Parts: sequence; C-alpha cells; structure tokens
Amino acid sequence: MASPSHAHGFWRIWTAPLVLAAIIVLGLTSALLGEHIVWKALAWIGLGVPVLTAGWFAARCR
Amino acid sequence: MTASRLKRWYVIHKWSSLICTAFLLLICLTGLPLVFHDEIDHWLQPHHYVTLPTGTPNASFDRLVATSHRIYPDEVISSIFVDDDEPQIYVWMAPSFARMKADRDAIHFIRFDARTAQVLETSKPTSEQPKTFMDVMLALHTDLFVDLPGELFLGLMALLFVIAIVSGVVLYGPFMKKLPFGTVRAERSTRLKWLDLHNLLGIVMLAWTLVVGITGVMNELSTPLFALWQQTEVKAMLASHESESVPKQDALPSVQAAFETAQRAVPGMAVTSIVFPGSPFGSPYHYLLWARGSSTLTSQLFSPVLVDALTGRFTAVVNMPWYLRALEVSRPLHFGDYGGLPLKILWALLDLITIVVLGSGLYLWVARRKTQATRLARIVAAHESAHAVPAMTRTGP
Repeated sequence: MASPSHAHGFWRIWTAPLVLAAIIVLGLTSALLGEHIVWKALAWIGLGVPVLTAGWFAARCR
Repeated sequence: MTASRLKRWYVIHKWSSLICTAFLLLICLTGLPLVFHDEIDHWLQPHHYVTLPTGTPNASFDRLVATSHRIYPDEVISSIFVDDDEPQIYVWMAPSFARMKADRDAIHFIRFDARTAQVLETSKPTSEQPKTFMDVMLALHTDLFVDLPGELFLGLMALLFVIAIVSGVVLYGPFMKKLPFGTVRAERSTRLKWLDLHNLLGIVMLAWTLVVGITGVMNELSTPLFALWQQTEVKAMLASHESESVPKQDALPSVQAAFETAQRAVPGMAVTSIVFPGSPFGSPYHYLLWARGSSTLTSQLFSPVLVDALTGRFTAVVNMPWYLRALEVSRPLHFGDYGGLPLKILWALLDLITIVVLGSGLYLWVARRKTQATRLARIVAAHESAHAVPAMTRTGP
C-alpha cells in the first residue's frame, strides 16, 4: 500500500494535469451535446483554459 | 519506478516520437488551413445565389435528373448531394458505372440552385481538374497522394504519436518529483528551458492531443472499415435480392418519390444524399439514401435508407455497426468544426502549441546527442591523455 507521503507526492504532481484534462474533456463534449450557445461557450472555455495556461507559463519564462 | 523501467519508457518515448515527428509536423502544418477549410473555400470561391423568400421549397429532384440527362445524354448519374449550408445541389455523373469502378476520378458534377433548378456550374472529371491549394493540403494531411497505402501509413504515424504521448505522460511523473507544476528553469541552460517547456506544454494539452491523435488514427481507418461493412453486413443484406433484375437508369422510378419515401421512414432526420442503383457506392437494386440527425451529435450519425429501384417502395433502414458509429463520432472531435469559429481558432492555437512540443522534442534529442558527443569526446580525450603519459615515459630517454 502507498504510504501517506507517497500519495501526497502523487497528488502534488498530478492534480494540475488531471484538472486540465477534465476541463478539456468537458469542453470537447459540451459543444457536441448541445446546440445552445451556452454549450458552445463551455467548449470555448474548456479549450481556452489549456491555451491560456500554456501561453501564461511560456510568457513567464521569457 | 525503477531506473530500468524508466529507461525503457524513455526509449519508447524517444523512438515513437523520432519516427513520427517529421510526418506529425507535416500533419500539424497542413491541419492549420484544413481547420478553416469552410471559410477558405468560401473566400476563394464565393458562391452567389438569387435572393428568394426564406422557406422557398427545393425543386423536384426529377427535374434536376432530367436536366442532367439532357446535358450529358450518354452518361449515368451516380449520386445526388444536397448541401445543408447553401441552397445548392450537386448531381454527380460518370461515363458509366464500369468506368467509375475502374477510376473513381472519372466522375464530374453539375451544380444546381436547389430552389430554381438552374444550372450554376458544370465541372470537368475530377481526374482532369487542377489540384487546388486545399486539395494539396488535404492529400498531405491524409494520404500523401497515394490513397489507401498513404492513409494506412499516416494512420500508423498517428498511432506512434499516441504512443509517444502515453510514454511522455509516464515519464512526466518521475520527472516532476521535485518540481512544482509549471516550473520552467529558464536561467540555467537553453536545453533545460526547452526540456521544461516541452514537458509543461505537453502535459497541459494532453487530453486534446490524445483525442485528436486517436480520432486521427480512426479516420485513417475509414476506408477499410467501410469496406469491412460492405463485405459483411451489406453483402448479406443484398444477397436476398440476387435473383432480381438490375434496373437500367432510364427505367428508374421517380427520385423525388424515393426521397419522400425515405424521408417518411426516418422522421426527424434529413436526407443529404442519394446514391443511384448500380453505383459502386450503392446497391444494384436500390436507391441508397443517406439521412442524418439534426442536432450537433446526431448530425454526425448517418442512417442508410434503401428504396426499391423497381417498385419505388421503402425496403429498409440499414443498421450501422458500432465501428462505423465510433468513426462518425470521432470526426468532429478530429476536425474541431462543431463549435463555431471560436472553437476553430482554439483548435488552430492548440495545433500550433503541438508544433512547438514536436519541435522542442526534436531539438532536445539533437541537443542531448550533442552533449553526449561532447561528453564522449571529453572522456576519450581524458583516456588518451592518461595513456599518453606512460607512452611518453616508455619512448623517453
């Protein structure tokens, strides 16, 4: 069984990637499921988040 | 993870990426204009239509068929395509079905105004048409101009890309053990900065690249998947008709009536194309009508409807197997064309970031080889100088 510190290490590394993946998956599916502008806007947000995240970190390291 | 397992994953990541990178860069670059192909097509070849009151019904298909036969009396109609974006209908013709079977590009079209049945355009056979910019982009993206072998090859490259993504994720965990998320060590060396950026951008976009990669593999398999369906289910269904005579094109029942019959069989769906009896892409004994749903998701799901080509009666709605349904759903998830222009722009930006990840991966491999070469040169030099001393003492006085 994983020790508490091991589990802690797992979440420290994987929380951000898993949250981002969940946001992307929600974005990808929302525009597929609904016609309403709200569903489309959710898709724009869902895929806008990774683009902005990538852009923000890339801009910060320059 | 043990050091040997980590090393194994590194080797998988390195080789799967190295083999596919050049092709993936080509796919990403050609994918950029393809995301906007609707907009580019409208811009390069704007279509103009007479203004008619909204709700003007479409002209009868029988009228379009009669006009087509009048323009090309010695040819056969292979299919009719109804556009749902613009008021236009394409009638596709071929010198004969035998010619079409031998050469798919022997077909040409007549474009009609859907409401007035006025001829808007007649095309040369596909084989004689000059390739447009978008044709070239599509070929480079999907089959490298060599049809099925090209599709399978690029499908394999996409599969390697998916393997590279998965192995990259496996390596990400141990790599980030002592680093907080988003760390980019920009000050120490260019290589380290790009290594951190490669990992960061890769993991941020992970779900998108994985989805586009997997749906890319699926799309490249569409030709064999449709062939499989035709050879199994479709063949079995048509076997019961084998004793029937094959109707000639000039003796076919009304297309308009067949269209209305099919439309009644699938209420709530829209018939978007009609494949004529005898076409290599249809049935010898039926009109084959493709209908699709009206919502974003169901508009991807096509149902083939068969209408008897002797009697004009409804025959069946053909069941689509799960692998073709999966292929249909995978299409919008690959094209990014289901959420308006903003989604397309985001799709293009994600594509650009993928190019950065691919490029940085390639750079890291070259830089690593360089540092390894310098290290090796240093070791060799050290080794040589260590051996040079006793040699000198031996040759000395």
